[in-house]
Amino acid sequence: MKEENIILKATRLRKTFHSPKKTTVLSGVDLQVKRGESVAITGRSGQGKSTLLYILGTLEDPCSGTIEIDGKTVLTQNRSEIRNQHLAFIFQNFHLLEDYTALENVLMPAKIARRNTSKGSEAFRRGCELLETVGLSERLHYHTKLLSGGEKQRVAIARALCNDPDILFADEPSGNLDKQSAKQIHQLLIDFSKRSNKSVVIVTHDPELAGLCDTRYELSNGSLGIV
Amino acid sequence: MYELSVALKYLTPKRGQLSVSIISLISVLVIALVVWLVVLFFSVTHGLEKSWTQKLIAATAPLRLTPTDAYYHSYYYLSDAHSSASDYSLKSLSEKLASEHTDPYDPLSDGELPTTIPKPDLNNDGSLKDIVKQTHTIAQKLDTQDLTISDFEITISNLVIDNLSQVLYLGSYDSHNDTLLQTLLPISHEDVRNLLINIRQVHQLDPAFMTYLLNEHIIGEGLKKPPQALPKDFFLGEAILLPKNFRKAGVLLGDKGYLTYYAPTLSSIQQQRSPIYVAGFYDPGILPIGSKFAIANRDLVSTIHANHSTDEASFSTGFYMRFHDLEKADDLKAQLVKNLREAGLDKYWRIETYREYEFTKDLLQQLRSERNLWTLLATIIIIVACSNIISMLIILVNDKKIEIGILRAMGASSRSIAIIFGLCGMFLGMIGSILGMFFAYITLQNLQSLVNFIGKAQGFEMFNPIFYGNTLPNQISPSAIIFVVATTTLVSLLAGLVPAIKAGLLKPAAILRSE
Repeated sequence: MKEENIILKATRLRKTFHSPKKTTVLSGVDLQVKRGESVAITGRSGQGKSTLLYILGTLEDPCSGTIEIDGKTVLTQNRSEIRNQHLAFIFQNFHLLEDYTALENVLMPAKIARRNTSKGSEAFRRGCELLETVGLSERLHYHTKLLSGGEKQRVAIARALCNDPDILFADEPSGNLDKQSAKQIHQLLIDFSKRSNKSVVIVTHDPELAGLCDTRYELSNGSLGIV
Repeated sequence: MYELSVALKYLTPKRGQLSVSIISLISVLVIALVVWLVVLFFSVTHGLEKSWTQKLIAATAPLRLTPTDAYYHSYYYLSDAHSSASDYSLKSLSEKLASEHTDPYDPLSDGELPTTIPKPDLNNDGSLKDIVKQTHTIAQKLDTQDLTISDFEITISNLVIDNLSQVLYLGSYDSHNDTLLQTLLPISHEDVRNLLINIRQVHQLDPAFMTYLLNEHIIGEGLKKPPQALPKDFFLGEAILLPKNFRKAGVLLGDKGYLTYYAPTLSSIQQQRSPIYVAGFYDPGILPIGSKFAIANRDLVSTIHANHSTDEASFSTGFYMRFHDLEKADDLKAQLVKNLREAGLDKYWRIETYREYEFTKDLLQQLRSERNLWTLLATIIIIVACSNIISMLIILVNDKKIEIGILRAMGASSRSIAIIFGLCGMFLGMIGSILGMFFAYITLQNLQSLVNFIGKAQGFEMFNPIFYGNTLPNQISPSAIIFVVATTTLVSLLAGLVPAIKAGLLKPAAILRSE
């Protein structure tokens, strides 16, 4: 695999929880994700899939091991910047900002990146376009608490794409949705990966979603194996 | 700056966050209450200090130069008593200032000087130092635009008006003293009637001309500019201004009387009388000798003063230096001391600012001490009030945990999160301050009614007019505003620091996973 083609490289990741009892969830995990590649991580509950996703997404520190994103080693000092510029997340519980409208939610990553988000700005236009892409052009100014589960997850996807990230991490993105909404969300994620040559790392129990991905791994007893 | 918009969003009251909203409201109200109290107290005390200082300055000046013993024992001063050019008499400062000769003594025509007279103090060119003129010139060159310098004299005399007989300090009137205008009392109808009767008694004039004449005899509230001299009437005598307590004793404008003093004659020391009439009243404020301090024309004061020993009281003559910005007093004093030292004249003068006058020093220092003590107390009260913000922000951080996790996942740094909560604390402090200042403004506008109401309720006046004047100051003090805004902003920012750091240190993965 050519080095320049690799967007995410995790080397010998280890993670042990010491409370309530000592549990090793990752014991030297190596993973490489190529640009444009969609990766599914499956496994039984409690195996540490979400922990791995959070570690890969720099939201949590491993006990040992390194992560490189777009050739940059993740350090405490550059973690927030890397997260803002290169990564995005979609959660099972949507995790939208409840007091904000759909559009305000989508524009928040741009605001954090100190970009101009006023009406007519490039970020504003992109925010509107993204909401239109996910089929919510008529819900721009709705408070997110007024939206359905499927709509919330679509807002979350639009928000994740706002800063044009290199990797999208999704933790059970359709876990809280009905079948039809789940299908729409799966399609949006895979389309995003194929159309814009961006990487997607998805933690899921859903075999249908895992089947849509280019590569499928299974996490078991702290090790990652290709399925 | 997205931190600002997020902070404002968090502070907007919401139905779902009732506990945070109630605690925020209480925090803001407590801060507002404290700010209200502090601004009110500082505004009133600042106003009182200003008014007391103004009244003090009206009878004196911001800066004063008085001759020291070295002056009275100098060749320059004593040589006049042995010189025919000076009529063998000692001279006052104004006479020295107007004198043609620096050294009037002529060894050829005057008698030999006693051996007790010290050697002359000479300039580098060998000429006698003209202590008064050179000092006056140096003082005039001080770096301030509105400076005026005038010599003053204070003497003691006995005032007799009808059955009233009172020993008085008599100060010389100074036409440069425009501060005096602000302490003049209003003229009552009774005053006018009394003056008209007295004018009529002595002048026998027709009513129309009397009205014109009346205006020429009054020094009262509303006068735009100080007259060159106090009015003098051939029949009524010299005008004098009396402190306001005389009015309470029943003295009226236009009352006639005389000043008595003792003057040596060829055969004995005899009592002399100078006729006077009361031309107005002024408020001496807290000046300890104020109730016995009258103001008369310089000629009259000099005449009486000339019959007293000049070194009886060190403050009986000197120079008053007047300027409007009292904050400059210390700077100007320092400049003057330096310049006089360079000219070798500093030993001849005692230089004091109004804060250092013997008769006011203790009072003004006490006032300052009380203000400093209150500043300390106010700071402590503000700290206690702002500490409420800590508990409110800790609840807010717990309430917003998920949002903190989401923002961190989107790339917000822990510093940004800390800034958001720090701003929340600062805003609460600022809102409290603004509310408090608004309430203080409203209270100050209605202060007199409030004081009157409390006075009526308790059965006696709340503030004694002798010390506090007829009305309390009701102007908001800019220094109080600066103090309150700076302290509450800083303290609330510091109060927000602990929860802000706590928020910044939260682990996003732990928060998001727990949901």
